[in-house]
Amino acid sequence: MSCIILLLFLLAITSATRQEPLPILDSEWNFGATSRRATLHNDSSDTQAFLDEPAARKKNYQSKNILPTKEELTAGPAPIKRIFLRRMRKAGSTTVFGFLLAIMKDYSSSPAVARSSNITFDRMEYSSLNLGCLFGSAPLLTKPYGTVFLVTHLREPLSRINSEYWFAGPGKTIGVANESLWAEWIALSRPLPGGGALRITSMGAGFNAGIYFDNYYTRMLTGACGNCAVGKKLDPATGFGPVTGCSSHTKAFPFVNVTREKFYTAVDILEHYFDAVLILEWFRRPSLNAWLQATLERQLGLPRGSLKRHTLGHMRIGSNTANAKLKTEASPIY
Amino acid sequence: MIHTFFFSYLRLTYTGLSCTQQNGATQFNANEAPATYRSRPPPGALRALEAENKFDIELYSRALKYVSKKIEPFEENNKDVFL
Repeated sequence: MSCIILLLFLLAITSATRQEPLPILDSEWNFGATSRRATLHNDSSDTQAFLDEPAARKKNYQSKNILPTKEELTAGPAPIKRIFLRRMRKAGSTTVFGFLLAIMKDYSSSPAVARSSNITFDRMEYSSLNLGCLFGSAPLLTKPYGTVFLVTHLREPLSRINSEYWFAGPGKTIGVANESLWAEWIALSRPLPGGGALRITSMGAGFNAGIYFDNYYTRMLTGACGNCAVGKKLDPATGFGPVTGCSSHTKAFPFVNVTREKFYTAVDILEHYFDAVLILEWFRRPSLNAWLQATLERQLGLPRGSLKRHTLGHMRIGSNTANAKLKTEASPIY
Repeated sequence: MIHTFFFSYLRLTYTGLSCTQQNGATQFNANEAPATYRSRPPPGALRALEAENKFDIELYSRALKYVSKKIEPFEENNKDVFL
């Protein structure tokens, strides 16, 4: 009886605190003044490791001019033709994936969209986004393939590693966590002198999760896994093809150290190429959701309110959902 | 079974309440790195991870500020919706 009363009480609280849906206004969203442009470069945190960096080296670093701009590489302000999701393992990628699938579904059924105006949706999870993926011989951002909307997402790094441990690593198979298991897990993923790592070598190519990588985000954004070669099966229609040598679940995965230069390259890539960087811990915030949706509407060339209101906080998809078919249709790039 | 249901609901409600409290438009505080996982690695492992993953920690820290700077003007300019 007491349980039922408590249950009713909790139900009442939940309904009282539920957010009202966002009103859809006739006017366009206002994205704010351009003078307040956000940057990742001049905003170093007080992390001790970065305070230790020699001042001269900081001053001499001119990262902004190293990489070509997205505008130089792509078709410019034209409506986007492709959405590319750089998935980050154990950082909410299934949620973001579900959100984008829902957007695509709305887009294709929208009366404002011509039937010929399809967009493609590509995602990458187990490979590193090396520079050759962005431009060069495996172009992600080149004019022939139209404008691409790049999305990625981050989660507090140590939480992400902890999640990898529990949901795909030793925590899942053994079910406990202690200092020695953690130390063993980290040590098994250390690179061997000849390339690869003990864990990957012993588990084989089918093992695609539960691996510890230091500085995973930096690696996955910059190709800090050796000199990657482009696969032979480049799809001329999309510009995508398998990128060999960067897949984290193969024996051939070549480890290299993540350096400060790699870090700055990751900063460059995030700032200059990604249209949306999402933070898992803010997935439920209405303004983040509205900003993402408004940005997509604008870049898809749709009037405000054309897409149904989706929220990242509720978009996790499973194999039994209506999106399962769409999920299989979206092209994986490993 | 009723216990399973009850505790699942309790957990869901707790999560929902926490998130609702955080949903306010003025709470984009990028200086507070959110702690998302209650069960952290043991202390020795945590220290090793912090030392090894300094680039990612810095990248994430900057990304928090970067994203909040992108969202805040949007929020501010659509006050009719968010505030």
